[in-house]
Amino acid sequence: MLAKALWFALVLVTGSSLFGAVDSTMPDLVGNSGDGYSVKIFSQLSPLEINRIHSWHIEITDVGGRPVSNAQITVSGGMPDHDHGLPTQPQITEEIRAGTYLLEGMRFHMPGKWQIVIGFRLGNQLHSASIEFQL
Amino acid sequence: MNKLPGILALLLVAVLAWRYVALPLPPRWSEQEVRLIQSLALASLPDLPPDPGNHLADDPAAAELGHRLYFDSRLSSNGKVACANCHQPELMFTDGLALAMGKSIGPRHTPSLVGIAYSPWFYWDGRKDSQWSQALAPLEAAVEHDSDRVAILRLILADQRYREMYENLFGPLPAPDQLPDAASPLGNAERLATWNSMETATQTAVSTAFSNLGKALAAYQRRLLPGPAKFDDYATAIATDPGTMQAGSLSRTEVGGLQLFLGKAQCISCHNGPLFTNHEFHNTGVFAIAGQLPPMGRYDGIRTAREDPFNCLGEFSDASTSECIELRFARDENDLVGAQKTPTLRNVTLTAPYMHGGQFKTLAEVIQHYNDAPTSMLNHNEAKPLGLRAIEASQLEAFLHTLTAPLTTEKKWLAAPNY
Repeated sequence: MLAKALWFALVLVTGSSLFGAVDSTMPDLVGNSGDGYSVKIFSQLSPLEINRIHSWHIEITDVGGRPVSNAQITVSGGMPDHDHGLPTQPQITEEIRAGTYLLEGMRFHMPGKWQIVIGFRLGNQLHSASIEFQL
Repeated sequence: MNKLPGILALLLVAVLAWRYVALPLPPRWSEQEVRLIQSLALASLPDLPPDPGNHLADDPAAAELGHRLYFDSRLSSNGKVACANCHQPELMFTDGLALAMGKSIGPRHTPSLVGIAYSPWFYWDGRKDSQWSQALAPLEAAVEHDSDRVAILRLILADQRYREMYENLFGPLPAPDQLPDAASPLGNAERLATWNSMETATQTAVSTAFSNLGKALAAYQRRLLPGPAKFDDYATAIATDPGTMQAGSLSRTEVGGLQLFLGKAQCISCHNGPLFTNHEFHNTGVFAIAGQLPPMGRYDGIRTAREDPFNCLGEFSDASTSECIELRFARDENDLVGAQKTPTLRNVTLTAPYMHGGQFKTLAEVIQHYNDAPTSMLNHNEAKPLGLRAIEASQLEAFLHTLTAPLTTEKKWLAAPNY
């Protein structure tokens, strides 16, 4: 089988600290998968606002906490309650250091519940993380 | 004794009450509502974003040149059409018509220019990605100015004041003896044939100078900014007494409308932020303009923007590739079929009629449209029926009237130049 899907359950902590960090040691979003992969998201727009295009740093580590390099990452999402997708088509443009990727072109254009899906391929395995949060 | 008349009367009263009696307001806004109200206030408007494609976007001399060009009907083939014909200062830079009237009737309703410099996209379908690039298109559109880039450069060359202003900002213009009388890659057959007969270097020199005129026009137009309205006073008032509904200058009806705007009517989903627009594209099931097929909207608009030689990534832009974030990461998927740009609601009482084709004459009709959320002629309507009662539609309309206010723009920019 070419790909095996693993779903991470990521819990976003809402509140004033939402997306408050800019690459600090405290990520804005942390998730763990059943087999130990971890995804941390650092928004480069602080605090996060609607209607402003910005970048994220996405850090992926394995079960031993080692950075995961050379992952092929896709990002999609939208507002499930409004039946539409992201207003932009964000893309990973660079692995800025081992296991940390630059995602450009993020924007949210409505207040409400958002869902982001981060998929990444490692070798012949496809993983994805679904994240829900309120803006 | 026959009780039927009494029962019918009671039923009638109940029905009328349901339609026309406002529900009592709760005593305080919720924390979420307070946060949303502040997010709509003009005080939350950030500084004007830079236009990386236009290195003179904030240059006062460029704005003065743009101001003159904006009101100058000599830029049209019949000498009668200026930007100001359709974007009239006294109507918040709209024209009061369903469809724009340049040299002839155009295919779309004229949108307001106020605050539009905050938008990353221009036109109802977002087919332009900068204000300077947008400003070029009407000059060569057959239904608007119906001129062409060479004819316009000839005007600049022949007008001593224009020539001096231009050359002080941008350097020398192409020499007149290199130019035909009229030519454009977007023109009619004759203009196009002449354009194709020109040397490539001359074509580039002409298009560069033409793009500079767009940059001057944008330097002027980006100064058209909204001023604080009654709603903003209210937002300020409740900021000092968080949560109190009646702290400010809005009536109970208007406050009720604001509550609906944030909640049941879901207006804030798209009309958000201090300009009451998310600058994005949505299919809201508006019927096609009479005599036209339903438009493809943003689906076509982004494709046109990508192919535009005057886009952010093109040779006439002053931006680096890394600064063209909106264009590089724009979406183009099928759900954008039929999607039109969300307009600002600031000063909306002065910008009737409404929608991309001016399909609705009044705000009441617009509200009724969203209340019904009809099936879209193309793709699907993102909006859902709202179930607003008649009194609620009235409250919502009353709230929209609190968004009208004079611009903050210096008065000299709001009329033809006299300096």
